[in-house]
Amino acid sequence: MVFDSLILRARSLSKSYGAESVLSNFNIDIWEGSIFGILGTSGSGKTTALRMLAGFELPDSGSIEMYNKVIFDHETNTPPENRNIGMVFQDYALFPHLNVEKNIAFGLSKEEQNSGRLQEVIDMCNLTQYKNKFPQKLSGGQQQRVALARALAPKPEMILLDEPFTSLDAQMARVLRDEVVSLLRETQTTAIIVTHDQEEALSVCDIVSVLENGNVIQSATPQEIYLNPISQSVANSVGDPNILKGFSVDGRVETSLGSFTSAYEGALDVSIRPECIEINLDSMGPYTVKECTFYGHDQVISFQNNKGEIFRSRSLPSVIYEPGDKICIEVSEVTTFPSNK
Amino acid sequence: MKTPKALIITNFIILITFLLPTFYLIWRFLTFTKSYVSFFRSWNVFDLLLNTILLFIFVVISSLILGLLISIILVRFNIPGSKILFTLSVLPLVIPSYIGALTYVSAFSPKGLFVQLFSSLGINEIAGIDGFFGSWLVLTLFTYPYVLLICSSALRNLDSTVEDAARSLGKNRFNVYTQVVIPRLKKPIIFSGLLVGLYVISDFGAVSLMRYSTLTKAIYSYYEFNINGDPVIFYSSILIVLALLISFIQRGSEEARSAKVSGTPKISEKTNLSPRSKVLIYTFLSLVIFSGLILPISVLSYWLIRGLSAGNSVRAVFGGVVGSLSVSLLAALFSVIVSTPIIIMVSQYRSKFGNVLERIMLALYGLPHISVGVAILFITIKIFPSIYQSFTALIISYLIVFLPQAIGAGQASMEQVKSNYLDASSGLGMSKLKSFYRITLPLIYRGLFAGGALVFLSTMKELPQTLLLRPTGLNTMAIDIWSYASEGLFTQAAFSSFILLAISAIPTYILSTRNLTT
Repeated sequence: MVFDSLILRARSLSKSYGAESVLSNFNIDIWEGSIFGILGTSGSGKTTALRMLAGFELPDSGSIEMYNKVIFDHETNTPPENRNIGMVFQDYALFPHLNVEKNIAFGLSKEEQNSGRLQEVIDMCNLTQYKNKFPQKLSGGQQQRVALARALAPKPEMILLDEPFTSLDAQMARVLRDEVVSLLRETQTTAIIVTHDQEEALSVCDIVSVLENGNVIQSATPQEIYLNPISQSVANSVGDPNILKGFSVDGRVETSLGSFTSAYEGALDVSIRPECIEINLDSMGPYTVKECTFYGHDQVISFQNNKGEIFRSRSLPSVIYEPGDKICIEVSEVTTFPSNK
Repeated sequence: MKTPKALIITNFIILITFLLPTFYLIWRFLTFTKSYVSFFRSWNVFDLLLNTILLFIFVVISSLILGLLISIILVRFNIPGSKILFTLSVLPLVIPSYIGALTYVSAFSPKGLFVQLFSSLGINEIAGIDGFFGSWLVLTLFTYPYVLLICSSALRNLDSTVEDAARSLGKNRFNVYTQVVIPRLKKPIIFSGLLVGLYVISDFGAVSLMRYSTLTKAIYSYYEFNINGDPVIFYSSILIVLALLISFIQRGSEEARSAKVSGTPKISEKTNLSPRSKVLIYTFLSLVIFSGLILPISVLSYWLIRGLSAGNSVRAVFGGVVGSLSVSLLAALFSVIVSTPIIIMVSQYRSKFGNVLERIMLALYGLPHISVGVAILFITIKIFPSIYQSFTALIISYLIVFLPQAIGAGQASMEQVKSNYLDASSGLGMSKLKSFYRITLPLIYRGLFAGGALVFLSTMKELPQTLLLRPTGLNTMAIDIWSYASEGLFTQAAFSSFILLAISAIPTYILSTRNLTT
């Protein structure tokens, strides 16, 4: 996908509560029509970042521009109601005193409501049969749809989604995720999704920013993030790699799983994703199967070497491994980082 | 668990006693011999009803505006000293309406304190504060704290992400309040508004001192005029029906209050204010606190000092103090004794009778004291002359209106007594009575004590029932204050008022600082 016009630019946003820094030097560029992901664990500052963009929280410093117009800096602060940024809250924040239709109509003027926009959004989100119900009477998935419809109704420039699928059970979350993404794509709505779920970030977003302790450590396409993580912590936050210690001399590093080429010299962390280790039954093999967890579409086999170090491999479900089986391995891809002592 | 027979019988007797006044009034109302049309014509019922309802509407609206405004200011805005301001704004609640009325009447009567103080400035006479305006002012000042207490706690627990959502949909701060915050407070607003309304229609002290003719004032006037008068019964029954109606609507609004959307509430951050708005807000709050607290206390102090310096004897009020303390302690003691079997039945045994009992007790909350007093008066005259004008009749009458307070406090503490505690106890060989003594009682006695303290406080301030039912020779502080004030003897009224407020302060302080229910 190609994006060519910048809609929002945030520069060096920072925020601290007392001595505790929640966000420091936060920068992002959001391209029109893209879905942008902010991935981070709880406490990484991702919700704070989102609330600053929406205007609910004041950054201590930095600037935010939309379409090259400043909406926040040290002298400007456009209030949330004038930013034209829609928001879907984690717990949906539906108005309990209004029914579904009135919730969705809340941000629309009288003329807009009568112009057919209201009905259009209700249809678009498949909510026609619920429009007279109150939020309390709806399931989590339905509440989520209402929240999205309400945010989309006034045709915002962009829409922010704060952990949109966390409150739903896993299956419902997957169904709704597909629905929401196709709705956003259809309406060409720019969106920022904040999530702690790597699968969600990687599968849904065009660009992902990985946030840790209030700092953006990498912003790139999902493929780039996954295949070329810039640091060990990025690698850890997407996927579940085996991390090995090693020391590189003349571009080669020796590890417990073999010898690999390296871009750096000296002490290294070598990251090997489980799916990059192919294993084969071999009665003379140097490794022993310790445990096998079967997931259906694949399986994760943990195995150890004669020093007792444990590693994980992900493979297709066709071959059955028993604990104690001897195996040999083949590593297809590794990433190396300078060791952070 | 099967309810013990003794408990059922005890509670049945209590229940009958409680329903007696209401049923008696209705029965008398239905068996009137005169035709109803002549009642309506001769006793200006419509005027009285109109006056009562007018006062109800005006006080409810002004209390709601005042209470809600102060709630929003103190909960949602960043104001230095908001905690102490909150306490000061709630405090007028402890001043009984007749003491409040007496301070306003004595300060602003045509030749009252105000004129005396400012006569040097050429003010020789003012219009005075009385009638509808006076009743409205005084009742508003001493009932808005109910709205403040209920609405501010609801406002504090309101999930503010909903307000963020409204802002992101293009609403400014003011619209967020009118379209989201206040509509979401609809239930506490209705509940506290009707609570104030119940207080207003039942109030006797303030309207009688302000000489504003409502149903309660008419009941007492007719009673003084002719004790066998049908009008007393007639008005009392109208009043009780009105109160039951309000109480019924109020219960309905409370039951629906718990509806909530999933998720943990996010507490709103306080908004900062410009210096100009702060000045405006401090001025407004000072005005309210001055009118509801500082002015009444200052006026009382003035009369007290003037009385003392004029050499008035303090001894005259002793009789009232002793009388108040003895009836209040008796009422508190009996409220604990009588409420215990009800609390146990309602919370420990799930039975139909228990449910009915609980509902009736809740519905009876807010019965106008004067109506209950009238009913008990006529029941003792006509059916049980042996207890006419006795302490027994007076205490029963108090219990009928105040017992719900004791039950409420006791029930809260009873929630700690899980039924499996009692199962465990009987599994260890204890009889039901022993289990009660060794498990239930140690867990709930604080709650029972709190309930007793509440009843003590309410009885201390009670006026109309005491006026109607007091045994010959019994005087209470409330009666002293009211009758001195009616005769314009403000220095004497101020003595008793101070002592009443001082004695009330002790249990109020204990109740507010210690969580006695758990």
